[in-house]
Amino acid sequence: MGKTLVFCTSYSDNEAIWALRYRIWVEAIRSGEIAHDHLLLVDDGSPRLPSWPDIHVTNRLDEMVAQKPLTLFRFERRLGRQACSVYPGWYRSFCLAARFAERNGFEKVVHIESDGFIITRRMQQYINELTNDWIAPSIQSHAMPESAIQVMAGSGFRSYVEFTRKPYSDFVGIEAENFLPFTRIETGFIGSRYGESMHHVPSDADFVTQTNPSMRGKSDYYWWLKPEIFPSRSDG
Amino acid sequence: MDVSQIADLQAAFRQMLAALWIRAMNNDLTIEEVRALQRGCMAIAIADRGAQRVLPFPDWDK
Repeated sequence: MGKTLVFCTSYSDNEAIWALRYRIWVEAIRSGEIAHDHLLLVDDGSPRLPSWPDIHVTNRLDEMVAQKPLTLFRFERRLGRQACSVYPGWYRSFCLAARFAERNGFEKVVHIESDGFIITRRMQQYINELTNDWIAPSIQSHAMPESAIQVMAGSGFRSYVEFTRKPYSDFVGIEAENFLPFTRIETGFIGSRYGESMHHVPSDADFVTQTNPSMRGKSDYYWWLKPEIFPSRSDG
Repeated sequence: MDVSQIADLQAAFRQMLAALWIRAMNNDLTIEEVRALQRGCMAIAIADRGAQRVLPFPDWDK
């Protein structure tokens, strides 16, 4: 299997969000078992950027992957989200990751939104073993695929690259899970958008998306992560 | 204005958005183009799905 890119989309206007949301995502991937060669954050025009020493920030797609293992690609102007089902900012970032992967020779892409986590070793190994398809896990509680977690490999990767050449005007007003052409919805894992209604993540969950924003930075909530990846209180 | 004219208008809007999208992907939008793209997205979404199904965020156009 070729190189694997893991990416999320990002936007923040303050340092705390970078530290407590995006840095935790980076460290969670790094301390987990999902095999990867590079991490990418695609940023929708944040007014402030993180001051991490290990990140390469660029706004140029023609730059190849830098020596640093973490890249933040920044769009200069924010497109954002105007309604529940109108999010040109997210779609542009999602498309940019495909171009980044294509130009830099990646052959597998794992998309995990920054408030999402693959909790169990079982699901991480499943992601590692995927060699084909464009996959999203199902959320049984919502009876829908979870577009916040996707894996594209083999023909699925090629479909992803091709699909993301389409402009957002083709999909505006439609929820991502209803327009992305997944080739498989994986039903073998337990997970949900627990943070929508709960202040904890169940102990039997394989994955979680939309972690509760009010619990941000509280290591007890993120029981599956090593406590040391959370910044100490003196770090802000 | 009859239905066919409305459809023509929608098609023209989509063409405008598709052209702006190329510039958006190239990280080459002006602020005015960003606003046009955002408003165009809302207009198309509402035209396609109806105002009841596309509830704008209160502060999206601020």
